[in-house]
Amino acid sequence: MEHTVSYLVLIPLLPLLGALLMGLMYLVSCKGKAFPEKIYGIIACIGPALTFILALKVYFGLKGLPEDSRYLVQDVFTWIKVGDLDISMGFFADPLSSLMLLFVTLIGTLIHVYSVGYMAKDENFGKFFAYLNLFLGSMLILVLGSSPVVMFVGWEGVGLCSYLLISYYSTETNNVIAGNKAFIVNRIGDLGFVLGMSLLFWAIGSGGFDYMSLRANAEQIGPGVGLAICLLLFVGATGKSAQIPLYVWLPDAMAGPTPVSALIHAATMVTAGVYMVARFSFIYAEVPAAGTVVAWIGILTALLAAIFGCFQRDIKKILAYSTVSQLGYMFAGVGVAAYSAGIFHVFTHAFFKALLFLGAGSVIYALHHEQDIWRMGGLKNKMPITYWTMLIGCLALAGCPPFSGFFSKDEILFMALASGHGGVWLVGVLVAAMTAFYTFRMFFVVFHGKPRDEHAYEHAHESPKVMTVPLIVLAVGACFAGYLNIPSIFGGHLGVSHWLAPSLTEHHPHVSVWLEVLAVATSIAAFGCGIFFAWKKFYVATAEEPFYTGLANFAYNKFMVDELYHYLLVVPYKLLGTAISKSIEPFVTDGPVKVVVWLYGALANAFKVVQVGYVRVYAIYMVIGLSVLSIFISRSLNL
Amino acid sequence: MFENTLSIMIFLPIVAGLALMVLPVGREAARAAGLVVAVLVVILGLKVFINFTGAGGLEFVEKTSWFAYVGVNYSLGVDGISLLVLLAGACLFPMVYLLLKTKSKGFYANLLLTQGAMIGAIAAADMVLFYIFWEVMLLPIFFMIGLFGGPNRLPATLKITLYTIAGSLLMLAAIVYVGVSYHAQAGVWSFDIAELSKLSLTGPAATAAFIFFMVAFAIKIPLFPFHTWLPDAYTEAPTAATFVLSAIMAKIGVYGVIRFVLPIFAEDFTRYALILCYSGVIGMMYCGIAAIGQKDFKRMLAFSSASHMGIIAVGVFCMNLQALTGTLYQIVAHATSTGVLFLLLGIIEERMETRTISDLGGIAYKAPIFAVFFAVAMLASVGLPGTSGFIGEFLIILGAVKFNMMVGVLAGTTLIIGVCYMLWMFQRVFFEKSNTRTEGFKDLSAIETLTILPIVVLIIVMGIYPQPFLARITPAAAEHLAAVSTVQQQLADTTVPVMEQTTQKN
Repeated sequence: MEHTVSYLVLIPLLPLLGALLMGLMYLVSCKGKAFPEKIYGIIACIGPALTFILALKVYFGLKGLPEDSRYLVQDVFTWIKVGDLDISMGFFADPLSSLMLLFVTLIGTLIHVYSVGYMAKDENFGKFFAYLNLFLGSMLILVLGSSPVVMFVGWEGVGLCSYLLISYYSTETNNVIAGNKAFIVNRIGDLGFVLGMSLLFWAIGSGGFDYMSLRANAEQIGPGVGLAICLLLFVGATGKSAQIPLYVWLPDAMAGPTPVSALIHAATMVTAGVYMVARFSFIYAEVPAAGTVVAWIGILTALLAAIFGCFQRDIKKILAYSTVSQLGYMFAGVGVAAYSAGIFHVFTHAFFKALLFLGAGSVIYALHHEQDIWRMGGLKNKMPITYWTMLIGCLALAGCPPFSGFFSKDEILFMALASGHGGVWLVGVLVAAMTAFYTFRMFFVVFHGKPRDEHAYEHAHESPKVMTVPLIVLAVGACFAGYLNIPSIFGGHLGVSHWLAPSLTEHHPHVSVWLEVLAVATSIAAFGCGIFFAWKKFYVATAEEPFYTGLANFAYNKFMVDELYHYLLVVPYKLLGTAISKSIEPFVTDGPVKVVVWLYGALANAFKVVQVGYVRVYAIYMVIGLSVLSIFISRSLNL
Repeated sequence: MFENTLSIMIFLPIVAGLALMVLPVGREAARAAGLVVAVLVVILGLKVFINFTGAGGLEFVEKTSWFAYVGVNYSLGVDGISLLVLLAGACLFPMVYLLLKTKSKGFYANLLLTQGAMIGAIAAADMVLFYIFWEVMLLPIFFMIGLFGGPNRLPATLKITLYTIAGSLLMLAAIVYVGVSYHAQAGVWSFDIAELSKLSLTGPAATAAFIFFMVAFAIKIPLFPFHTWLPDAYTEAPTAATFVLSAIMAKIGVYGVIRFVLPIFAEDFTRYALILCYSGVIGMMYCGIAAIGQKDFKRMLAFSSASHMGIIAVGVFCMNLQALTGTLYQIVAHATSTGVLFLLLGIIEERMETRTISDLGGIAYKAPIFAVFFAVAMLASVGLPGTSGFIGEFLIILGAVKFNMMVGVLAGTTLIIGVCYMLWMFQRVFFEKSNTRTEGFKDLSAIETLTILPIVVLIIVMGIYPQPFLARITPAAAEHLAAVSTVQQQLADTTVPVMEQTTQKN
């Protein structure tokens, strides 16, 4: 059994044990003197670092296997066995999960290190790292789970950690509400996941519910059921990965500490939906209609979020909407059955978006928790490392060649065009231009021009090494990650796509070179346009926030979607709850009961009239009764 | 002494309870005595669980002839159906004695009596014996609410008593009918549950008896729309009694449906399963939505508990192995999570002297251990993977999807409805800013922590390693469903339109 290994379980287990240990330390010490931050910091970082080493081991382990049987498994114990349902607590690594594993553990480790600096002097330092380790453990369960149900454990686990970390500063009501929103919206998606999973089980699950068996039996799924499964699973993905109509939680999730936004709400957790669709590519590939839905939802989300991104003033919210937008690209990729392109964008995006968030965190840290870009400006000289790394991140996000984002985004757009989804491609190009625009709008306003808040500017300073070193490492990634998957037009050979090929069910369409040239040219042109407009408008020293009217104001207010949901869903739901407890419960459901009680009482009152309490009256009753009885007896005996 | 384990588990609390009533002992002595008895019962309960083989059929059987002329026996036994219910009934009581204070020794005496009677009802292998224990367990509840409850306790007591007595009378009539039918078919009298299960009663009289049984159990569970006694009773009852009602007694209702109604009235059960499913999911949604409108913490938990009972009931009506196993598992999962929630609420009430949600806030900062325990129980209650709640809920939803897609979708909404009210409550009670009242909230003491810790650990262990439990209940559940599946097959042949979705191969 060369495929069975014994170290896979350690990958999620190490961070989970770290979380448990730190959680207990925190609880034990929270009444007295807290443990020093150094101890927490070491425990917090050691688990993720070890998982990265194990991730490398997994990668090389897979590499040593023949290409057509690259997988490693470990079944730890039988988890749920009821009749045909037989799920083991098992872990499964193939090229797809190994790629996810590599960047999740690498970026996870870097962000843990960064957080040690960012969260210094926080009074709940231990709790924060317990949550962060718990998150990483859950994320790794999600990536490595050998069956959809084990994956769901991680899936919900990361949701829980997301909730805990969004509402981390829980004395502020709005932060907690943001956390609740994230959890509840994710739960709506999870309903889809559970139902999709159930349908999948009843379709082919009796032959084994792990991914390998499912893939082997995928052909037995009927087309109708297949479509239902795909769409239900995608509902789950829209929740976790913030797509229309469930994207609303992600911008609010920025209430959490910035490293959390970088790790959970940019680099790792939110891409879980894309990973899931790629993981189920063996079903999605059979149902092109589902893929089309996924692609269109994705690209429309990308467009919507890009529009909002152009108007935001909170640096983290701009990045949040850009995340939603980039996630939309990824879904467009997996939707047009270019699973490897989608996953590759997940991979590059993790680097540059984590970099951007950590850079933003560095700015926020320097300006004492100022997040409004219209109160920043001219930080270029004060924070050189942050400036240069952020520049790399922005170029990658905007899709400037030769940075990583260019290659991955271009691959998606090209595949959309090549697979005949012209509309998706066209919207995608438009969004690419908008991405460049809003990215550099933010960049120019924050780092160039004159400081808008002199006082904050005076006190600004470069962040400590523990924060800048992760920035530099991520910047290297954002620069060069794209070279792992260079298309043939640039003389590459799509290394990542080939690596992923055994895990995915995808076909590469053969199209003319000119189509590819066209795609690349339009992408570059879109980037150029976007950055040009941003430069013209915001690269001036005195740029101020424009005054928005009309449609722009509507977009500034995010099309009132949050308000719409609030009045359409939340308010009626609460009203219904109140109505039930105030009116329906006492009068409708309890009404018949009360009527019965009342009737019983009325009957008793009616009889009460004869119960007067005087012996003489009762004597009369007795006489009457005896008379009637004697008449009755005499009649019946015919006397 | 171990041949009579079940009898000891039943009569040790009952005798102790009666003794406390007559003996001139103080309140603390009564509490200590209750605790000792409860711990002994836990030990015996664990012994039963560990030695249970799961080979099928009753184990730990005790049988003595009682009213021989009508075939009534004093017979006890445990099988896969009753094992986990018994475990819940046996193992959760020490917490009550350790955590909550009450005013008088009479309360502890009543608590002991309830526990004995409940274990009796669960372990009874004879229908008449079951009925007797079923009635006896109501009495102490009556006294506990009526004597030690909140300000509006009297109407609440009256309501729960009338409801349950009405149910009991219907059940008595149904039991007599079943006994007479058995006599008519077999020629001898017997109220042995295993014997009666071989009956398959049909016809209008059987349908009436089926409805009588269902109403009796529906009241206890409670199933929509028979739930209206619950919010009042749960809210007004002293927290220990609420705990007993929600964590264990409600489960005996579900257990009764599985034990009696499913096998004996297989045909009617199959015919009305869809309606009953809808009753379950509507109850779940209705109570879940009502929970969000509550201002009183306890009333909110009462609705929450009723909401989850709806889902647990759905698992029975779906009539497939996954759903039924899920229900049996969820019985314990719900008992532990709801039990812990009610007990922790009891502690809040004792320390803060209020249960109004808006009066609280910021408890998490003052009492982190308390908050962590509460959070674990809450997450189990909303069915988060990694806790016991997920296994049961997932199996039930999985089974429901097979039974009927619509029921599956509606049952699945429990995932959403549960978190809505729970998180909102958690926000207002544990997060946000603390106020002058909650400023002085003391975290759990060492003893309190150690009391709740085992149950919290159990909640997590049952989520990660459920197989020891599932392996013990699955064979019995499969055996139990065999009766129904033949009926389903027959009904499929005679084409009953409603049943089309349910007739796919198991």
